[in-house]
Amino acid sequence: METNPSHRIRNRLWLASLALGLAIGTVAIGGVVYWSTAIAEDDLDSELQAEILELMQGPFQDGPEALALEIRRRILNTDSLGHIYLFAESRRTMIEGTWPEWPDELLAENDLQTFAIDDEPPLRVGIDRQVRIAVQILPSGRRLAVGHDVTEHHRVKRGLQLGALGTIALTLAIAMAGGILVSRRLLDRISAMRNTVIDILSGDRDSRVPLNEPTDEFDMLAKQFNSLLDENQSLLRRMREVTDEVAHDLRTPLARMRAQIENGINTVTGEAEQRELLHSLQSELDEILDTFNALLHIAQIETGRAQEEMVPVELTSLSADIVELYEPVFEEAGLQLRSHLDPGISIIGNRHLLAQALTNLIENALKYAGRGVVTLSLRPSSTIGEITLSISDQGPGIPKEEHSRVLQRFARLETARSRPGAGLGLSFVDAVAKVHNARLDLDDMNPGLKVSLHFYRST
Amino acid sequence: MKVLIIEDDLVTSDYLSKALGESGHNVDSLDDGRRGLDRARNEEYDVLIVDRMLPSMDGLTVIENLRKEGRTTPVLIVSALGEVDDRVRGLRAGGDDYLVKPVAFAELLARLEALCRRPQASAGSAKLEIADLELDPLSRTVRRSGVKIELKPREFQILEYLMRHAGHVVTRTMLLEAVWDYHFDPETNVIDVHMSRLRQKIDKEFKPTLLHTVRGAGYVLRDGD
Repeated sequence: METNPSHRIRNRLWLASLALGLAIGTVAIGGVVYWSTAIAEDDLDSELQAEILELMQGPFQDGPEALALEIRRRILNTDSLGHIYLFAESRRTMIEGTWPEWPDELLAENDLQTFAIDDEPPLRVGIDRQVRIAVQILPSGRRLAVGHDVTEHHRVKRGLQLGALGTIALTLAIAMAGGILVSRRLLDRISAMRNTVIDILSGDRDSRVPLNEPTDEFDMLAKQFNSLLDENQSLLRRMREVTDEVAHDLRTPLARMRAQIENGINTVTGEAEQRELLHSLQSELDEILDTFNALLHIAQIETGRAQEEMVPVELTSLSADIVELYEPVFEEAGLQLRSHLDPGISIIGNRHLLAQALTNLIENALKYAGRGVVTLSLRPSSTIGEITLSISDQGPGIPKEEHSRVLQRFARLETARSRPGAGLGLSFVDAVAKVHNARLDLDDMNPGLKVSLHFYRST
Repeated sequence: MKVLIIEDDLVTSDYLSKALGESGHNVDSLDDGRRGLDRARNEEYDVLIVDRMLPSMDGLTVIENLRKEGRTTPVLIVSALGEVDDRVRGLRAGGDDYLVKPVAFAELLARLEALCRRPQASAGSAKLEIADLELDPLSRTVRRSGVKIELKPREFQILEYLMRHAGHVVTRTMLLEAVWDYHFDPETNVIDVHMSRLRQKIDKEFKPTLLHTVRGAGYVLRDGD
């Protein structure tokens, strides 16, 4: 388990959502700008209409001369440039106005119009001017127009709108490109996993998800996925080994039994002989069953079924119980069983498996030591946080070069072949040790064998 | 005893029926879970022997159903599934005892008899007596002919178990389970050694012999042969 996982994907997703947020924000701001320029236009229009209304209701009531006078006054008084007033008899005859004549483009309708006029001094040279004009046809057929120069306004508006649209387009493009890039990378990683799964399903069990450097969250996931696959594969391998072992090691005694039966059918006649044959078959069969059960048991431990029952177990009392159970047996066999058990030592474990493993070790000592003292000891080891449970005897021991071999299934030393047992004792203990994350050591005591189990102390 | 065997392996169930019949028990057998459940509902039995993997309904479901309906008929589960967690599952489903195939008949018979007497046998702290042997579970003392006998704690437990099952065969496996809570059979006959020590203490200097060995089965505590 990594303690410091990389956050590259998380950071990337952060960036992506930040970009998305920015894009949405930009679009919103652009929209607001666009909309507010339109509002500004509306404001101008109502201003123009208000001025017309004011002229109509004020000076116009006193006759055209008064209106003309007022317009003249306004033209002269307008300090800001760009105000336009027109009061005309007809298209050609201007009564009073900013311009000498009514422009052709300006329609004689009660309406608001925007039009461009040629540049004329004293206003800026070289710029097409935009004018927004409100026209009012008077009852006499005369025309009144009030207008504003909106060149600057339009220029700003155009600029703002172009800017807003451009920004929107640009951010959208960038966000999309980023999104595509990020999602493609994510999809690539996912499809790498999918491909691995497909490979495995189609039989290539060695296929693994490729890892990238530097690692990101997907690599962490891929690593865990890969170790899951490794675990799975090793379980499969174990199962296959077990079936092979069963096939290999049970076939021989079964074949022997079959031969015995066949032989019996052909030759055995007397009742006593039959009985003897059946007894011999029964004990042979019992041994096969024992072997079979032991194999199955080890396989089940190794495939993890024992994990379900891991609880705190007091090793001290468990060991004491077993010593108490076996002490008289050792005595009868002319051996001594001694124990040095530190009080109150507990580990997390499976009580039944531990008891059985310890029983196996003690029975091994009983069977093979032959003489002297067998010592069971339970104490903290020199390594901090470790507990050592060891059984040492003063028997012939196991030659060092054989140490790794005796943990294999069915391994029995040549010297021990004549004794009963399937030779599964130590490999069972080894399997139990592995379930408990314990280490199994064999040491030569010159003479004698010492088997040690090193457990982690439970806290 | 009236026994119902629910077991789909006909060789096993024939063998058990025959052997139980020869020991003087009444046996019915069925090879199907659902029909077995119906029969157990409609007829009174002293004990049921139930296999786990059965056609139409598995053994544990049969037991669960019976227990749900409030039936307390003792059930002995006999199964090829022999891991500790299988056993635990079986007992949780409502089984009273669990044997792993292949089963020795003596073991099965001893268990069945123990199951049928369970309610009385497990009762409390009253003094246990057989002939002139007395055991007081409260003061944890044992006397024979009024003479106090010193027993080690395990020996006391063994004797208590034997006395609660007096007159019935107790197998080595039953003792290992009851006294040590070990659900596996050691290769050496550890129990025999303990029994011979117990025998030394309770029988050697007294008459008649109470603790008898039953060949091929186990032990029985009994007054007379």
